[in-house]
Amino acid sequence: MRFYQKIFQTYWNPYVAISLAGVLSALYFGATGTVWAVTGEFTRLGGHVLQWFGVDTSKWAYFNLIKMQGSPLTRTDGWIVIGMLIGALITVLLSNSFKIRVPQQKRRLLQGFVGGVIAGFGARLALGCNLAAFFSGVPQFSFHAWLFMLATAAGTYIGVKIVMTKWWRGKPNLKPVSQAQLQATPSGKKRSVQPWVGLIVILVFLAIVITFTIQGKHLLAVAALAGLGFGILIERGQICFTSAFRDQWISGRAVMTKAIAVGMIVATVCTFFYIHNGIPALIKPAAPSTLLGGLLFGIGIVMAGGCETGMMYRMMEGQVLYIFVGLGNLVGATLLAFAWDHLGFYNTLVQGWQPINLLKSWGETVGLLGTLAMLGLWWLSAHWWSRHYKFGRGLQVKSDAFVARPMKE
Amino acid sequence: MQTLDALQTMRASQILHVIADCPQSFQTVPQEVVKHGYELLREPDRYGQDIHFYIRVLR
Repeated sequence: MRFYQKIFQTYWNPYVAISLAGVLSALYFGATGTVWAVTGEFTRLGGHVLQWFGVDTSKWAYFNLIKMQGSPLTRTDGWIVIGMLIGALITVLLSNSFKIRVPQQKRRLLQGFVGGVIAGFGARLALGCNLAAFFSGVPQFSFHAWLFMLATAAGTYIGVKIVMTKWWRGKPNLKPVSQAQLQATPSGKKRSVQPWVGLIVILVFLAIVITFTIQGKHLLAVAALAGLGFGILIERGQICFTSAFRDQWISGRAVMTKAIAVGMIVATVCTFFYIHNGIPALIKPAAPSTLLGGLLFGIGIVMAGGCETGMMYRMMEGQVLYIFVGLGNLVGATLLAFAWDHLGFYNTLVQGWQPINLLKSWGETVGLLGTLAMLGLWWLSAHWWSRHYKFGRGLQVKSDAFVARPMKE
Repeated sequence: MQTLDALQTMRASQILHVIADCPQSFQTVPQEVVKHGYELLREPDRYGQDIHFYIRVLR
């Protein structure tokens, strides 16, 4: 019981959770030759919806680029997404944290949807979200991931400016309490059926994986299991790329940022061995579209309150807002697929720009060490920023007056 | 963020009782209030899916 409580009643150290995710994403790359990604699959889903409504998407360049064959149930990317949702759901249930949560302010739903559209559009313009263009893109030594990251940081800064305005936030429901009220907190813990439901979900999911194995669909089984692992890790570690960028601008909190930097260092080293041994790296064009996409993605995820992965596990926690964010993502990604050739986005923003592989341009040793050094620099700058940035006071380099006191008892 | 905002308007030794149901706040709220020089009165309590924080303004 102690062990169970430790695993499911407390959240895991984000450094541990995201380092494990880094190892898992490298293993997944080694096993399948593809990377941990989700928005490509969202776009395909959007394509399927268009097809149901009779739209002929066979000539849309973007859908041909990301390949529309099959359905989510027959694609590895589909099972990554399903696995992530189920993995997060399982740990939410086992830890008894599921609750339908409707935002107090109804405007959040619309805001989340709009943010989701912008984020989905931006992510696909850059050919990947926080995973493929960032968390699993940097370890592929694709230069575009660095451009995406810089642009996302700038975008989240703009996003924070938007969500800090009064008309966006509305009025919170906060009032001070007296000492007497303080004592009278609700008590008693009800027993819950949630862990049992979680157990059933695990068994059903494992049955599906075993069926795939028996049918010889090994890649699907691997994808489903990897997705499950990712889902568990992002939920238990509360891994949120949005907060990694956003919280620094708002309050200077950098725990998540630093944890992600460490996880990416782990992923980079592990992935390097696979690439060194001959698995081709997945490199994407470093183009103006990467910068613009990252910028829009950054603005969108702050408005929505969650990036593509954060949105997935929060949806499983029962947060209604994120259903709207997810729908927004689908719409945004599909809009981009339309804009790609119909509105000339490809011709103006992508065409002519080359993919840059840092291992090729810099050589293997410098490419690896350079990437690690840049990640280290990112960690250090996040650390420095968190020491000096204070909510409502801005960046204060001199460490005057406002020093945190240690907690009593 | 709204917690920090509210805390800024409060006087010394007043206590803010925050009830949150977003699991992420379990980590972010304690980290942020302590970082900004407030005191967490006791370990956050969990009742079902809600989390209760008691935060005291020090100065």
